[in-house]
Amino acid sequence: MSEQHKYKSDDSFLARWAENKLSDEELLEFQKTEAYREFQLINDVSQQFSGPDLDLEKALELTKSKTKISSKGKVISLRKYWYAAAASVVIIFGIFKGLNSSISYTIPNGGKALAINLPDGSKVQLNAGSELSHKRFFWNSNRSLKLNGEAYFEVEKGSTFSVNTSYGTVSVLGTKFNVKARKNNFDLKCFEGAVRFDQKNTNNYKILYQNDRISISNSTTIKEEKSPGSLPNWLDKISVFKDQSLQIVLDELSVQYNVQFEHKSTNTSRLFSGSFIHNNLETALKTTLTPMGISYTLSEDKKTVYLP
Amino acid sequence: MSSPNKSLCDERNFDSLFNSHYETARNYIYYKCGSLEQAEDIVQDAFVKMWKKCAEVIFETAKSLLFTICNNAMRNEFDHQKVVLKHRKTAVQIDKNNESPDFLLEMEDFRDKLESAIANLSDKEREVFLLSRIDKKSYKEIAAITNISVKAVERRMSNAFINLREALGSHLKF
Repeated sequence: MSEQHKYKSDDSFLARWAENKLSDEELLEFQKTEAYREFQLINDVSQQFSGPDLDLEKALELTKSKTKISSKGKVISLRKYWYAAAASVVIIFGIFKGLNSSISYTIPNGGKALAINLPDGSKVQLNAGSELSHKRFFWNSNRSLKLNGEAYFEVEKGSTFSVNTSYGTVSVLGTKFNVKARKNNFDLKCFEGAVRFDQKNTNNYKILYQNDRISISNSTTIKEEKSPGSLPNWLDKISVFKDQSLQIVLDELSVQYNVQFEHKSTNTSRLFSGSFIHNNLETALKTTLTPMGISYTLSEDKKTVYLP
Repeated sequence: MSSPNKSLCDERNFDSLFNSHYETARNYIYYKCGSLEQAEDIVQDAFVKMWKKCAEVIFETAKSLLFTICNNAMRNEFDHQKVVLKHRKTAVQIDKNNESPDFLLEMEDFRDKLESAIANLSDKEREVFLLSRIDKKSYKEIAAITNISVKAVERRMSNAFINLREALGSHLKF
């Protein structure tokens, strides 16, 4: 048969043939060629291959374990110490490379709170929709953390312990305190001992003792108040608000339940006092929105709440 | 505020995305580089990245985002190894009349030759050819995975056939 067959000149011909997309005419013509049988053989046998084995469940489990604690940079292990020369190179390299590597914990919106033990023995409870990170090496001598979201800290005595947020820095020596640094508000409460808050980009600072609480909402003004209580309410899976704007309440509902709010005319700067629980969305919505006289509808997939 | 219908932050949605696309993505990277370990790492890391940014991911476009992240990861240097394929025993479809021991041996030999010819194709031809023949993806799906046009997929597919026939030469004549 002609060596100038279409399969050579038409660069989609063989592709269409492999998908059975040739017209009857084209196929008949092709079947007459010498090459047809050879392509047929390649096509048949190549379909008998399969990709590498797969354990999908294991792969998913492994992936999820990687989402819990991720670390930037690698752990550098020192080989046997008598290889002094080699080891010193590794140490120098390790210090150089490792100083800036960090450990971070992330909990997405709607996720479960996580208890974290820090290298110095301090304890952290990280709320949903929050991210916490700290340096991997020499952390004990400079106990500094970065927080975006909300967390409760029980700090072991030692060097200065500081939590950096987008609103400013909270520093302590050894105490218990809760920090909430969300999109629209900052809230700090001291449960034991004393903490110092240095507001970002200003010279303002406050020292808080037991039961002192400060908050920053839309403006940069710091609001102070007394607030008794031995543990933050969110640890008991309940969010409590006192004279806070509806926007802040909606933000917290979004974080706890991973829902979105859509509103047209609702005034979200109205103040709300009350609470909602973390384990039942319908009840939470009822206890926050109904007392405010706001009617709402929840979408079927429970991901969106429509407000007037 | 935006209102995505389905959120990737919902673990059920994340799992379903994983279960429906992990294998294709992993095979795709494997066909490119021949290293299973590397392929699994790249795809798992891509899912980790998406989970961390789950609130920003629009669920409907998550699949294409997955392949974009994988493709970007492959832009960087990567180890290249020979692609090894498995033989599916159930799929042996040989003409009954020809099942002489000689023929079976020849088939066995041919399979090895074909496998090595496939391994020697260019990465671009190999990934298209195997996604189509092994993973049974349509050219449209392959175009979305590899981020090229359907026309280009067809061209690579046709060229793969021509190059395989050339590489196998006399082995096709038995």
